[in-house]
Amino acid sequence: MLVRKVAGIASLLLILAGCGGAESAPIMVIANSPGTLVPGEIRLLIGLLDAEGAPLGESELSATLELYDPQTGELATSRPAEFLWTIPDVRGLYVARVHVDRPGVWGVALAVDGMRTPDPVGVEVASTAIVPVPGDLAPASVTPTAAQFALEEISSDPTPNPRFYEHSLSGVLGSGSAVVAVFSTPAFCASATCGPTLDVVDEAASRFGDVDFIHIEVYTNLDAASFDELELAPAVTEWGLPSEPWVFVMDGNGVVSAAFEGALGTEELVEAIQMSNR
Amino acid sequence: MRKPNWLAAAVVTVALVLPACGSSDSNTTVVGVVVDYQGDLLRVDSFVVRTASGAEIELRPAQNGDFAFPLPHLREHMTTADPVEVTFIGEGDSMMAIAVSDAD
Repeated sequence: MLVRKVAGIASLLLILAGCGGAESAPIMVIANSPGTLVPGEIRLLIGLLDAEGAPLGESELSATLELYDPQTGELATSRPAEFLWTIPDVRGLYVARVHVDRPGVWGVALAVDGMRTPDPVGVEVASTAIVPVPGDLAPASVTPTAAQFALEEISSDPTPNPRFYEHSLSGVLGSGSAVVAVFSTPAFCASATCGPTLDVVDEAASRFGDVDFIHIEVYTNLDAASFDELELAPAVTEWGLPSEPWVFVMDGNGVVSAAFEGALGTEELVEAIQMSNR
Repeated sequence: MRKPNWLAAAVVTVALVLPACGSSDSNTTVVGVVVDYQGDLLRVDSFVVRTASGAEIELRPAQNGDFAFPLPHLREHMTTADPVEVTFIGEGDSMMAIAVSDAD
């Protein structure tokens, strides 16, 4: 394992250094959905791939996100980026939080151990978001509960946590306690390697007995004869979600305090819950 | 979102790397990672797969394709860099994905 890890770090540094010619330059992929980022603190998910499409990244190397002004193209700020394993010791993403003060197409580059990716990639920061963002009142959606349905009817999680289906979202938002809402469809990840979001939330839930956790399946008719017949859960439409998975944290007043698209780490979720639960 | 610079060259890249696909009826199967996705949770307009050879292939889903999961799930593959296996066929100037599944 150590040999593999050292070899991985060496490969990443060689690629970032430009060894092997321009064709070996790394590719940066911004994984955030369009329309979900607005001025304020934004959370960027950044995939780094080599020329062959293999994922790059190492948690041992310090990384910095560089943000370039949409008007001038000049470096506006730089922030640390953390490597998040989406599949332990196999692949992952860089996650960075940075403050932007206005809408526009900002340039993003990544510097790993002092060496940076080629030309910045554009990421659009919209004036208004299509999803709830921190500061918004969360939609009080009515969601199915275990009191109404068998768990297998409302969750495609092979090992569902019954606690996640005790309450409707509408019944707990604004009740004085923090709430965590998870929108995901575990059933459609046949390889069982992409985005173990519910595992992360499960781990966080075990640390907070006084917080309500709600899992909402993205589709209502998982037994549809064909994928073309799938229907979105009403809550997904009410929240305007363009992708899955999403995790939202609300404070005791039902106001969104944190929103996570895609992969997330246990510690960043725990930290968001602690901030909301004060 | 403004498309990355490389995306503009995707079709050209495919045309250079896979010249036979433009007018051929034969299928091609590749493994790669999703680097761009256009669509929402119910439909996919197009997606781009980067293969092990470095080619970037812009694909549109074929109707009645053999898909192992709802194609909007490709968005999650993009957010986790999880590879997919795609079988496609050239149709006019575009590539049609006729089968998609997890690569692992």
